[in-house]
Amino acid sequence: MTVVGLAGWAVAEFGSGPERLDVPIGVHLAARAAVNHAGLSRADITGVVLAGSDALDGRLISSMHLAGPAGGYLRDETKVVDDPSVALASAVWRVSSGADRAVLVVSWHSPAESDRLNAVSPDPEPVFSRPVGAHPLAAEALAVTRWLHAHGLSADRFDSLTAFLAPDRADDDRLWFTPLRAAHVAPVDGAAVALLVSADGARAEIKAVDFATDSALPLEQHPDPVGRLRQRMLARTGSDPAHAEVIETTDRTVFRLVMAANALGLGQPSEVADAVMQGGLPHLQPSGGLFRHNAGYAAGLERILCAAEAVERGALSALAHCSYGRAGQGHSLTVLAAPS
Amino acid sequence: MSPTRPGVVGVGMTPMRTRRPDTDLFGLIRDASAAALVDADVSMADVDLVVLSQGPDALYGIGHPEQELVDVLAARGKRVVRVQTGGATGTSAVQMAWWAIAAGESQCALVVGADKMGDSQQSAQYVLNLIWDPAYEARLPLNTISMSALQAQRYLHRHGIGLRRGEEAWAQVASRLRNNGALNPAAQLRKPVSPDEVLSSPLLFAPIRRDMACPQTSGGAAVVMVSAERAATIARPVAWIDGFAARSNTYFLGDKMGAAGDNDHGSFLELSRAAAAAYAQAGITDPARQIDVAEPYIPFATMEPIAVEALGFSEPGQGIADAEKGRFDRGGDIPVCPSGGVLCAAPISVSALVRFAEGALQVRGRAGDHQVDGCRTAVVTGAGGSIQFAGVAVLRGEDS
Repeated sequence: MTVVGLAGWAVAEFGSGPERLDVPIGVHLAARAAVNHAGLSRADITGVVLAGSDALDGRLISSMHLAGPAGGYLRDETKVVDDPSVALASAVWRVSSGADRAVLVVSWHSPAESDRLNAVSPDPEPVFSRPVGAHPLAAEALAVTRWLHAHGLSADRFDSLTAFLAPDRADDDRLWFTPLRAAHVAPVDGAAVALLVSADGARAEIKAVDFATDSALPLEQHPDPVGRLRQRMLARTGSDPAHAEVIETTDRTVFRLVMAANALGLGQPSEVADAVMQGGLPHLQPSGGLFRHNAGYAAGLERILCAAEAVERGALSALAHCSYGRAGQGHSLTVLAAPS
Repeated sequence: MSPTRPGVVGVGMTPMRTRRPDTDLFGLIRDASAAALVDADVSMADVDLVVLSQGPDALYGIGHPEQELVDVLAARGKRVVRVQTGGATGTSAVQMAWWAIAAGESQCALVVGADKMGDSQQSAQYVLNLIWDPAYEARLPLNTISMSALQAQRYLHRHGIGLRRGEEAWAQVASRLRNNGALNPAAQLRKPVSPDEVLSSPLLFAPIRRDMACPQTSGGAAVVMVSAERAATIARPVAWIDGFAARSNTYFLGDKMGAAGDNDHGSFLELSRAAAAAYAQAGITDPARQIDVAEPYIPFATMEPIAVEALGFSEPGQGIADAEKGRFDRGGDIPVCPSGGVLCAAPISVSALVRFAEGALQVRGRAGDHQVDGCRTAVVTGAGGSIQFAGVAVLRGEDS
């Protein structure tokens, strides 16, 4: 089987104010920088996978105006909607099957294009979900409430962690949907993120990638979807992905950080919260996570990028966990390692 | 044979109709899935990957339908991927499953989608008017009809073909495809039309007339794809997918005018590039001789001559002449769209998936009244965007 790795990566900020870049230019800058980072040219790129949400972009078919800027002109290009980490998995399939040699995975989120309340997930379908008020934030709040109940915790147990992660916003106690307050949610900065998946010149080897999707209804979801995915990956690869030296996760809310750490076996929720504040989990989210920089819809790809950077800094292995969809219904795990 | 060679063992389609007020989008998805699973003699428990083929949300009025799909298909805990490349979505969805199976990451994949364009409060054409860039190209009054009409005019101009001959040829194409659709129980438009009737139908945007254009459609489609290793355990005929490639072109029509060379708006450069790559994978060196049936994505009759040239069935500028000779008739060298094609049903999210499904039915010998005798190799295509995205697959029957 072909060895597949990440040969290059880049993030392009859209910026703000009069200097703010439009989305095609930001996407182009990220894609070009990732190719340069790999020491390649566009001629070496055989395929492109875009990952975007038309609903967030406010476009009917956002790949129409972004395929070219992403490097897809006269290349084998497709677009995945669910999450950019799923797009990365498809790029791995393309390279490992021999269909492609080098595939760019490009995702973006420009907060200027969308409602800022979509920080958790895009708007739901209008017929079945609207009567129960399942705005993405409401669904996320239900999932958090269920998780807190399962662990016998109250939301205020995480006030200190909220102040630690968002010190300049900890007093923002606007209630978005019980128990979610504005301070609990990582604000979206937006960015374009590009990773180059290649059979050659890997800076970080992709050891395993898997994903699974659960019900969109928070109360119907599996109680431990990440644990289930861990077990599946363990069965396939023979190693537990949570044993990685570095772990990055999409902590779109304060609670998501603790939920992920708990599911990855780093401790009970209260222990995790205390450990994060006391520096007892230095291998969890060394990038600072989404509260330091949140690429929004593209955050999953940025987490994989941060894991790759950890490998380049010397970590033998790194795990990127992404949750996506309504109420975190989807989860992906991407395991990276130093090139063998 | 490689154990990861991808093949199709199940096909399911709902009847294609203008409206389906009796069911919702997910009902169509469920019906198409059930039909494909039954045809493949597998259940959802066997499926390890679901690829959702859903085009623009606005066509069916549901944002991010992939979030609902898991419960609709009893797919909790499975891998679910949605792709969206406009009209090419169906081909892109199949290609996603093809990659997964070829990589050894899936043994059994369900590719499914549906559309309810005919049920849309706004017309589909209104929705599709919104795909264009508002700054640079809005002044062209572009929609998918005018975009295609400009292509048709450009094609005639490039090859020195007069408008009257072009109109008569396109009317013949439309009549042939509608006659083909009359044999397909899943088709939406099943009433044959004569070339004279086509030419007397209302003008939409010169030179395209109503009966040269596809309808608005509601319907669903699905295929079950498996690895060769899995196919060996299923007593069903297999359509092997031996070549698959896609290519993306520029968004801006202005880039394809003037000194654009081969990438002219009157051509299908992205389709010819994708076809060349898919043919190379499948060992096709003479498509006109080696391919038995073609199911190209032709939403307008005006596109057939350009498509058959891009697919290598005709020399450049000869697509109309070859059609006049009957080469693409049901009994011709290469029957084109024996199902009636997109001209007889156009549920955009799955129009390209239906082309793929029809190709699979043909090489599996299961196309019923529109079966082409002796079909062993088929080529199918998808197209989307501003004549921008193209996907091509080569399918072969079991004894090929």
